[in-house]
Amino acid sequence: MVETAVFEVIASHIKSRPEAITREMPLEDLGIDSLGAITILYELEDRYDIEVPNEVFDSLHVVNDIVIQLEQLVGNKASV
Amino acid sequence: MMREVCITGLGSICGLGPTVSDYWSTLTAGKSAIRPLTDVNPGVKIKVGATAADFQADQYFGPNELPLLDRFSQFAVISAREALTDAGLENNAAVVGQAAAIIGTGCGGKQTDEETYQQLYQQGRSRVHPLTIPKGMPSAAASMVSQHLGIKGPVFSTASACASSAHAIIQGRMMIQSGLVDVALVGGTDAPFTYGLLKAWEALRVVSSDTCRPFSVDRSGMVLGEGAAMLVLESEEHARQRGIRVYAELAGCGMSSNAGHITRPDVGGISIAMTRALEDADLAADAVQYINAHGTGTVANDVAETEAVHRVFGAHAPSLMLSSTKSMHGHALGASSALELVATALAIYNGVVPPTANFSGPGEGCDLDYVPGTAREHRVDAALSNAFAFGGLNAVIALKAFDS
Repeated sequence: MVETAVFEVIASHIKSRPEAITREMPLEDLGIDSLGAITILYELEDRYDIEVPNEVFDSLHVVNDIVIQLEQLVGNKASV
Repeated sequence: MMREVCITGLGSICGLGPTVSDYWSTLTAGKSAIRPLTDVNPGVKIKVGATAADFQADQYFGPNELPLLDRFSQFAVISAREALTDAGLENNAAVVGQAAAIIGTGCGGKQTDEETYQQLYQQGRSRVHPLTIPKGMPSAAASMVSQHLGIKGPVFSTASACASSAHAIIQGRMMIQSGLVDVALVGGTDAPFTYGLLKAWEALRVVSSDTCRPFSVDRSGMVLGEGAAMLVLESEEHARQRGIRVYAELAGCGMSSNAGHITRPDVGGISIAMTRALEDADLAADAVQYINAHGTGTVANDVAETEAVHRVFGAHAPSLMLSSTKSMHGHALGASSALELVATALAIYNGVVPPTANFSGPGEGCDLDYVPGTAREHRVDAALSNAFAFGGLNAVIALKAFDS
């Protein structure tokens, strides 16, 4: 499940537990800056063998934004 | 009292052409060197760059010279020779022999390094070329400039990412001010279009997929460039004795470090660097007409730089012209500040301000006069050239028109 993977990677990055992450949390409040965000996306891209386009990067503000982007990309890949 | 320093020679090679004449005519025509990348590994997603597309090393160097010359050293030697010739010093062994050469680079000899790693890791070879170290070391360009041009004073490299050549230029000025040397060849060089380096920039998600539109509403990031630019700095007294033409006075410098985020620009830190440059040059804010911006075309830089200009220049900010020539020569990393200082010196000398190319309308928080699209004839008595590097390292140089 994409949500679980996103929570795991974020938790690992900020040295927390996946259960402590929710979809509504702003990335900034979790201490994730732009370099943190590209590092998290890099790990998720590797895990799912997908590519998050640069164009959507600036629209990732809360955890849910990452989950939705990944669900779309993973879904698209599955439907090919 | 410290000695005054002036600029008496210019050299450049980049995507806009192999000489300063080509560079300036193309810049002032508002033409960009950004073009599709054709000779890179198809696995690279970066599709555009300001490459020196027509450059042929064997037109400049013999087969006995090339084995020690990485591409970044080739650019350095070519532009250094042009700058010394422009200053009337190429055959003046007495002066050149005692001069300094300080050459900035952000990347060093990447072509050499990556070719070597490919042989080791990919091809499984167990030996590498014996000249790998002297050809690829970051100071190789400085050594090659020294060797090819006979410069025997203090010679070394500076590295501060995208501000490398600004720091080199400042170092040369300080050597002249202190009386250590009369003449310093200063500038920077980089050749970043290698597979590994392009993949690294790609991963950072700051490179545009189409072109560089600094300060624009739809700007989408920076575009890499390559090349070198060199300037001959000289004490005013030495220049007057020789009767050589002076482009501008190198009147002030300001440096600061953000001591903060590794990539995010800091308005406070860059404001300090600009303020220090003005103070060092004894310039009032309203005496400056032009700023050659760092102007990378990233969302973060362009807003921060605009805000810092407002903070430093106050009510004078709307009257300033501020353009990003990176929209035309690309971001040539360790060569950028030197390319931009050449443009700034020529803006003063010729009374023409180069434009920001590809400008498509002001982005949010970008409300200055960016000289969009077309060069502007305008007297420039004083100007700044900004450089704000990754790592939070800021360097700003102030030039004044030379009173001959």
